[in-house]
Parts: sequence; C-alpha cells; structure tokens
Amino acid sequence: MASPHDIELEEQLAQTRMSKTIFLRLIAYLRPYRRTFALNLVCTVLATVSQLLGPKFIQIGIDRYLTNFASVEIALRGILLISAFYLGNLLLGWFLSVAQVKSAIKVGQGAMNDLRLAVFEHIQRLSLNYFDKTHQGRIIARADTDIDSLDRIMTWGANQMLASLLTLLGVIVVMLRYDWRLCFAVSLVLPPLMVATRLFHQHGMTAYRRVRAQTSKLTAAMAENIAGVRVVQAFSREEENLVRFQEINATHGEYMLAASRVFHTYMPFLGLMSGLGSVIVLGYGGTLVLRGEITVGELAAFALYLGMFFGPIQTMGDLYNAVLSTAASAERIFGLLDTAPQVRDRTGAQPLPPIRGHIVFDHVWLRYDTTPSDQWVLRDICFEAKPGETVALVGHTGSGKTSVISLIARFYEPQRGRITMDGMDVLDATVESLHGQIGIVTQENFLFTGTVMENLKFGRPSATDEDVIAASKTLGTHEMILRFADGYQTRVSERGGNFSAGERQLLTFTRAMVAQPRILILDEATSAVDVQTERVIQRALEELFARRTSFVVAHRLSTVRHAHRILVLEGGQIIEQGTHDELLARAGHYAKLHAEFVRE
Amino acid sequence: MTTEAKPAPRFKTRNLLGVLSFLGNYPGWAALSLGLLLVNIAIEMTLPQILGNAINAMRLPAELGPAFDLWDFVQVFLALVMVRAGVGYILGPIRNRTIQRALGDLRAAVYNALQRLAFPYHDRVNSGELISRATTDIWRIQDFLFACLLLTVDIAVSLVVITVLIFQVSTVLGGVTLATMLPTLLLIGMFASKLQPQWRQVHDLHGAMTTVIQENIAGVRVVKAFAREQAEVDKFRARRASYLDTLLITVNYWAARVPLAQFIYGLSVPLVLWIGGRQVIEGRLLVGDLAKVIFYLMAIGHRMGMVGQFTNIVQNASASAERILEIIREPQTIRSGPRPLPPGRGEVRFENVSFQYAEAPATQPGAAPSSTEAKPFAPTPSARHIRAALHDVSFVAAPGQTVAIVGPTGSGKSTLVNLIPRFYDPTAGWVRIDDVDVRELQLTPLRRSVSVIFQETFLFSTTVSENIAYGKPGASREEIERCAQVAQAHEFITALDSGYDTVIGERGVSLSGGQRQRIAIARAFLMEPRILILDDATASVDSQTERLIREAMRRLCEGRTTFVIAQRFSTVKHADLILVLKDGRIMDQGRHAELIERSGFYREIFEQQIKA
Repeated sequence: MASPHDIELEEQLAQTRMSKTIFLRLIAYLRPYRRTFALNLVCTVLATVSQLLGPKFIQIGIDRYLTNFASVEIALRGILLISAFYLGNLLLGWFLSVAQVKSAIKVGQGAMNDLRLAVFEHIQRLSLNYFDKTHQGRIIARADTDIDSLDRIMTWGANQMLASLLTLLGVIVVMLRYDWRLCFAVSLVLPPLMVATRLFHQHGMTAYRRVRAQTSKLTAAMAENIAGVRVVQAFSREEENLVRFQEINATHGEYMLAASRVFHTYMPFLGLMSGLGSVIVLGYGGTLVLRGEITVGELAAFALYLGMFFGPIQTMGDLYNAVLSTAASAERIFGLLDTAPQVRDRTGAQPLPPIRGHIVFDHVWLRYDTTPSDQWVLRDICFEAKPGETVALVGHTGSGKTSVISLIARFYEPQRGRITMDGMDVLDATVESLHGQIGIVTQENFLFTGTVMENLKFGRPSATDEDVIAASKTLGTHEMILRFADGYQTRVSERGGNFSAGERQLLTFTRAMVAQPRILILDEATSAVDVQTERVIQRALEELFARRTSFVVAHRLSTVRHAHRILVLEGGQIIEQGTHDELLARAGHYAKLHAEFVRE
Repeated sequence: MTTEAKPAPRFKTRNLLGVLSFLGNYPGWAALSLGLLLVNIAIEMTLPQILGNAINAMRLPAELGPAFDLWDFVQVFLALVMVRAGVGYILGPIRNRTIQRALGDLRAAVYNALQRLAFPYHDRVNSGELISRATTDIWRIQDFLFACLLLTVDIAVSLVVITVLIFQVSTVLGGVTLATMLPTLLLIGMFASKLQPQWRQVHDLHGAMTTVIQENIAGVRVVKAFAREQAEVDKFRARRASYLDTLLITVNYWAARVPLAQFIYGLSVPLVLWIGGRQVIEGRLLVGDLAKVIFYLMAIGHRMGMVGQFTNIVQNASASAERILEIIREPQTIRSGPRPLPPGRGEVRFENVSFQYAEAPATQPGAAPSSTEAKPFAPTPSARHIRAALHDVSFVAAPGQTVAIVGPTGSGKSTLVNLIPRFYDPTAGWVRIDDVDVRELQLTPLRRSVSVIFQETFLFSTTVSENIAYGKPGASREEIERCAQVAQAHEFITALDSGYDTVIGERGVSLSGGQRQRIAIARAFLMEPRILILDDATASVDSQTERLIREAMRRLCEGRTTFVIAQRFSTVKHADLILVLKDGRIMDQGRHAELIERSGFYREIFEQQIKA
C-alpha cells in the first residue's frame, strides 16, 4: 500500500524516454528567449575553445622556448609572449563564462517560469471535477516540483551538452595531431569509463530511491510524533516510540551507507582510470619522448588534456539521467495542460444581470466523473426558490445536499434537466458573472496566508476596512477579531493554522458577508462552532437571509426550523418538501429526523 | 515579501562544537577516516612529483644523471594510483558510517527530547517549526559533518602542503602562488557570506511562489466560489516576477564578483609560466620542476571553487546547530516521581490548587522575525491568548463518580483536568490520586491509569489495531477487538478493506470524525484506566453516529472515576458531582437538582450552553 506521500515520491523519481513531441513542446518555451539562447550557445563554443587552448600554450612554451631555444634572448621574449597569450585567453574565458552563466539562467528560468505560469493559469480554468478525481498533492506537484525538475535541462542542458561534446572531440583532435598512437593508447580508458558511468547511474538510482523513501519515513515519524505529542505523553509511549524511531533511523543509515558504497565504487574507479591514463602517458609517452618521437611539451600537454576527459563524461551521464526524469515530469505537465475544463462559457454566453434570486431546478439529473455509470448522484430534482426565500436541505450524509448546492454555483453542470436563475438558463450565463454574485460558506473554512483583513476582503477586494468592520459587527464576530493578537491585522498562517476551527469558521462567515452576495449558500457552515456561538450567529443570519435567496445545509435541525422551504433528500432524490410545520404534520421522514434530533 | 536582504545569522563556534561532540562518540572511526583521507591527499601530492621528476630525468643527458629507467617511475606511479583507488573505496563508506551514526544519535536525541518536553513547551512552540528543525536543520548538520571530515581537511591540508612543495621548487614561484591564492581565498569567503542571504532570499521567493500554488489548489472551492481566478493569476504573476527579478539580480551580483576572484587566482599560471620560464631558460630551474608547479596550481584551482561552498555550509550549520541544541538542552519541567502507583479505586482530590501559565519566555535577542528556514528560533504564538488560570480549587471525586465540569469558554475547564495526569503541574496546592500527590508518582503508571479523550482526535498513521493498542503495545487481537466492540467501532472497522490491519491515513482510507472518535474511545478502553477524562466534543456527526458515540462513552465510564467537560444535558443531569467554574474559581459544586435550585450562575450557564 502506498501513501499519498509515497506516490509523490514515486512521481518525482519516475523516468522515461523523451518523446519528440514533448521535446518540441518544451523547446517552444525557449522561443521568446531565442536571442539570449543563441548568445549562450556562441559563448559556450568560444569558452570551450578557450579552455582547449590552455595546454596548447604550455606545450608551445615548453617546446619552443624552454627546451629547444635558439638563443636566450629569443626564448625570453617568446616566453613573455606566450604567457601574455595565456593571460589574454584567461581574460577571454572569464568574460565568456560570466556571459554564459547569465544568459543560461535568464533563458532557463524565464522559460521554466513561463511554463509554470501557463500551468497555474490552466489550473484556474479547470473545473471541480478535475480536483475531485486528482489528488491535491499531484496538482500542486505539476506547478511546483515538476516544473522545478525542468531546471537542469532548460537552464544547463543545451550548453552543457554542447560543451561536453566539443571538449571530448577537441581533446581527441588535438591529441591525434600530436601523436595518434599515444592518443589511441590514452583513449583506451574511455570505454570502461563510459560503462562505469552508465552502471553508476543505474545502481545509484536504485540506492537513491531507497534512501529517499526511507528519508520520508524518517521525516514522517518525526513529524507525527511532534503533532501527536500530547497523545504520546497521555499514553506514556515515549520508550516504545524511541525504540521504533531508532529502527527507522538505523535502516536509514544502512541505506545511506549502501548509496555511499555505490558512489565510492564509482569515484575511486574514475580516479583509477585517470591514474591509468597518466601511467600510459608516462610510460608509453615517456618512451616516445626518449625515442625522440614526441617532445616533452607534447607529453605535458597530453597529461593536461587527459584531465579534461573526465568532466564531460560525468556531465553527460548526469544529463542523460536528468533528461529521463525531465521527460516524465514534462509528460505530466503537458497532460495537465491538455485537460479541457468541464465547466466553461458556452459560445454566446451572456453576463448574468444582478440576480433577484428566483431559482428553478427543472428535472435535474447529475453524475460525477467518479460516479459509476449506472448510478446517479441526483435524480430528477425539481424545486423552486423565490427571491428572498430561505431554502434548507436536510438528509443523511451522502444524500446529495452538497451536490444540489454545487449545481446552483455551477461548479458542475447537470447531465439532464435545466437550472434557471431569474428565468435564464445558467448554462447561457458566463461563469464569472454567476460566481461573482454567490457567497458560499462551507465546512472546509479555508483561509489564505495574509492578514485577517485581507482574508475578509477576498470576495470583494473593493470593500473598505469600514465595510469589513460593519459586516463583522452585523454578524457578531467583531469582538472575537479584536481579541486576536493584532485584531484585523493578525497574520494568518498557512491554511489558518493559528486559529481554531471555530474561529476559522466565523471568519469565513464574515468573508461571505463582506462579499454581499445576491445568493448565499451555507454548507454545514455552523457545524464547527459551539452551540452558544451558533445562537449568536443565528440572529445575524436571519437578517441576512431576509434580503437574499439563501440555501442552508445543516445537520442540526435547529438551524433550519425557520426556512421557507425544507427539501428532504434521500439517495439523490427529494422525498419531501415543505415548511417545518407542514413536514412535521406529515409525520414522514423529516418528522423522524426531527424526533431523533430533539431526543439529544 | 520584503525585498531587502536579511542579515547573515550570527556565527557561534560553541554551537558547532556542540554538534561536533556527537562525532566525538566515534573517535576511532572519525580518526580512521581522517587518517585515510590524509593518505590519499599524500598520494595526490606525490603524483605530480613523479611526473615532474620523470620529465627532468628525460631531459638530463645520460652522462650527468644516474642510469635512467622510465619503468621505475611507471611502477611507482601505478602502485600509488592503485592504492589511492583502494583507499577511496574503503574510505567513503567508513566516513559515511561515522557520520550517519553521529547524525542518527543527534536525530534520536532531538526526537526523544521533543517527545518528553512537557505540554507548556509544546503550547508555546509552533509544531511546524519543530518539524522543520528536526529535519531541515539536521540535514544542514549532515553537510557540516561531511565538511569537517572531508572538505575542511582536504582544502586546508592540500593548500598548505602544495604551497610548501612549490616553495621547495622555487621561492619566487611560491611567492606568486601565495600572492594570488590568498586574495582569492579571502574574496571568495567574503563573497560567499555576502551572497548567502541573497540566495536565501531567492529561495524564499521561490517558496512564496509555491505557497501561492499550494493555497490556490487547496482552496480551489473558495477561489471559484468568489470568482477570484484572475486575481489569483495576477498574484502569482507578481510573485513570479519578483522571484525572477531577484534571481537575476543575485546572479548579476555573483557574476560581478566570484569569477573575478577566481580570475585573480588564474593569474598564477601565466605568471609562473613567465617567471618560471625565465628561470628555466637561464638554467636556474628544470623544466620538469616547472611542470610540477603547474600541475600543483591546477590542483589548488580545483579546490578554490569549494571554498565558497565550505563558507556556506559552516554558516548554515551554525544557525542550525543553535536551533537543534536548544531543543536538546531545553530543561524537562515535568519529571517522574519515585513512588509506584498505590492500589486504589481512583479517588481524586484537589486541595487548594492554583495554577498559572508561565509567561512565554522572551524570544532570543536579535532573532529575526518569521521567515523560512534558517532563521534563529522565534516561537510563533497562537492567535489565541485566552489562557485560563485556576485559583484555589478544592473538591473530592469519590471512586467511580462522574464529575461534570461546566463553565464559560476560558473558565479553566481543560486546565483543571490537565492537572490530573500531570500534563501541567499546579503552581500551588495538591492534586492527589488515592491519597498520593501526583508529583510523587512515577509518570508512566500514572498516565497509563488516567485516560484522556481529547477534543480533537489524533490517530497515528499506522494500522487500526496498533492505534487501538497504542497505550499497550503487546495487546492481543482478541483484546483489541473486544474494546472496539464496546466502543461501537468493530462494525465499521471490519468493513474496511483490510479490517484491523488497515493503515489509517493512506490513500483512500479516510475515516470520518465519528469513526476516529470511536477508535480513540477503544484506545482508552484498552488501558482499563482508573480515571477517565472526556472532553465532550460536539463533533460534526449525524444523529445516528452521535448516538453510537454516546453509547460507547457511557460504557467506557462505567465503574471509573470520570471527568467530563460537559456540553450535553444528559451528561450533566446524571453526574454525581458538577463543578461550576468561572474565571478559574469553583463557584459552586453539587448535583444538578441542588445547583439549579441555589445557583443563579449555574442556571444561566445551563440555559445558555447546555440545554440547546
């Protein structure tokens, strides 16, 4: 069994070959930066050439001026000149490498974050059906870690590949020109080097996966013990927990060790190969020098060029690995970008005029993407809400109350039937004009990081501080807010974690009030506040309900008693509707629910 | 998000030594890995000598030098290269093992300290922050330990030895080396510490971008309900722009400095080529020796890049070490007493108990305000500051009685019950269980005989059965199932995919609030506690579930001394003793019938809160 975290980990470590389509789509994001990109490539080529020149200068210096010079005077002038050339080359290398880094980051980060923005914008367009069937962590990963994993390739891929290939090629060409036999002999270290690099990446990946998985277990164990520390102490589990943690800890150490064995087999092998290369240069090259077939300077150059073999091979192995991971990420990113939103404006959709609040459900049927195809979530729902009415929805968990409300807000669209608002089919209206007029308070009570004030203005950014305070006073939350450390300016930490569930709920209430919606929807909104507070809100709510069409879903039947209309749902159907008194008189399902409630 | 760079954290050697002491628990291994590292550095320093000497020998006319055999050089070189590979092969894992052990000890020390620190500490400190310290900061220490056993030694030893070796070849060339190396070292170190806060800022801005994404997706229903999609895109666009801007500024800052520093060192090669070249031409220096110097200069150049890395690691580690050691060194305020729990039936007696929450200690001077990662520790206070104290509370709960505690929010109801299992200790007075002061009792038996059902149910992400047996890890399956049955949980547990072996919190397994609560009840049941404390939560459950929970609770209370923070009429009505709290004082105590008669305050509370 895998936890959501394991799945994320699995995603991050996934690898696949890069298809041509994906590659081209990625490349397309470089287009806006093509000039900088071209500059980067030119700099890369020149910088590589400049690097290759270094040992050449030393060879010339040794052979022409240090060993076989005609006169001391010429030699002294020559060595000065060659040193000056070397210096010039160094300067050039400096400028080029700076330009290379700057341009690479500009291109890579620019393109990457354009793609990130595109993903974010697309997520805004997607409908709730997508969010229902896709784990939240996965959607976040598309715009977060998946994009981040493009960094290596988008920023450094092109120029590192180019530089590595050019360096290898350049080294071999220069060596060949010096002496083909020695070049061939030295190149013998290349094949084992490549094989070792490939093997290293394969084994390294496996070891790395295990370490990562165990690391996340370690973190989870640590985090859970902190989050649940009160329970730990209440049950006096400290000893037992420490023993278990030590096991996870020890396994983690073992896996780290295994990973380090892979790494420390590869690295010494690399050193061994480079050493063998030097032995070949020394032994065979030395023999050639003694035979007078190559010069001392050429021997020194061989030794220096040999050192340039190893970097590119490591880099290319690394890049290959990065491409595989990037391809998997890119596939997922483009998968998201290719998902079409389910709810979107029809052609010719009109903005909805200010809603008076006459809402009609006309034989509405609904099924979600996740609903089995032989079932319906809502079946043949018919009802009417007149402007200013309060409609309550009651029924057991899973009876379809929240689905009805989601349809009013057009988070989903029904498969059959139609919903009209002031006589207009909601499908003919633009989504934004509808959402702009609806205020919803759900059980989720989600707050954003920022201040309390910013959160309260979320639904109507144009509201003034006075508007917000007036709304809080109406609702009776003003005093609670003033009790926070900094009143309305209190910081809200991530997801409102620094407030209790009840406080969050009251804040989301106030937020909906500030928005001054034409239609108000309360979905189990009062379940997290205690009875006392609920009673305070209740009075304020009644005033609010009076001015707009409102829908209320509640477990506690006390809150629905005064509704103009109560819809009783069961299995996706409306089985009873009427006022509280009518329904009690009918002695049906509602009467039974109510009896249960009163007995508490 | 502020744009000015934050000051670099203060550097404290004492803290670094504190974490290094964990390495000191493995002196043999640490010494071995350092010794082997020195062997390899020595080999690396010798190889250029052999190459240079070989070149010299090749250049010497036969009549001047001894008989020259190239194979002597080749054999020595080959042998050294193989030894180096061999040492590298065993050294890596040895070093890794040493560090992993030290780090494992450190991690366990943090884990253990955290789980033993008393409630007041956890009230004060934000748990997210603790988690970050227990993870991110420990990774930073890992980098530091690697730096101590590898990077630091490698850089320091190599630079010194190479400089000495170059001086042996030629004083002038040694001078050139020092003249280029020292300013570069200084500059790189300086730039690295200046750049670090900038990079951290880039990192923070990246984090800010991620936060927008996370919140946007977690709050997607709110965003859609208020039609705020475009505003969210604008917000994201702004974060993205400030991230990219800051990144490019930082890259430019880097580009104007670090490559310059490296260039200064790079000057050493043409200088040596020129000055050394003159000496060779004038016959004062052998070509092979000049080659040696150039090889050595390359070896130094390779290490120059690591200096910046080293500076960063040490700086990060200094701040991290401080935060970690703070946890380990935090004094344990609630310690186990000497006496075993006496036999008894659970009489609880409060005698003139007063309790005051300690003032939150001032944050460290100079502590940076909240931001991510490497900040010095500053506790994030909760937005709520309603902390109820207790004043002179006395009462006796006879064995098996049910005690209901009523009172407005903030009157001290939770505080009172928290004193029984010593989650807090009273500031004055005595809390006695079966005639013994709880502070004299051994902590584990005390807590295992007092079960608490918290208002917010916390379950661990392990199997259902392990959760039920949380307080008694060896419990048999029969015992577990019996308790689940009494807690009205057996039925839904067996309906889960893997029954009692279902792992809670994994994909697809999400339990409802009511189900979680019943597992918590079963968990308390298994303890067969002498005393039971219930925070009578008004969870959002439908009436059917609520009935099941109440039935489970009723069975749990049977025959035990029970304290209930009461919200329901039925609980209060049947209680043997009702404590009416206001502002931390007991206003009145007695049975429902008496209180409703004589206490106006009780009537008020009863009307307002309980009889909903």
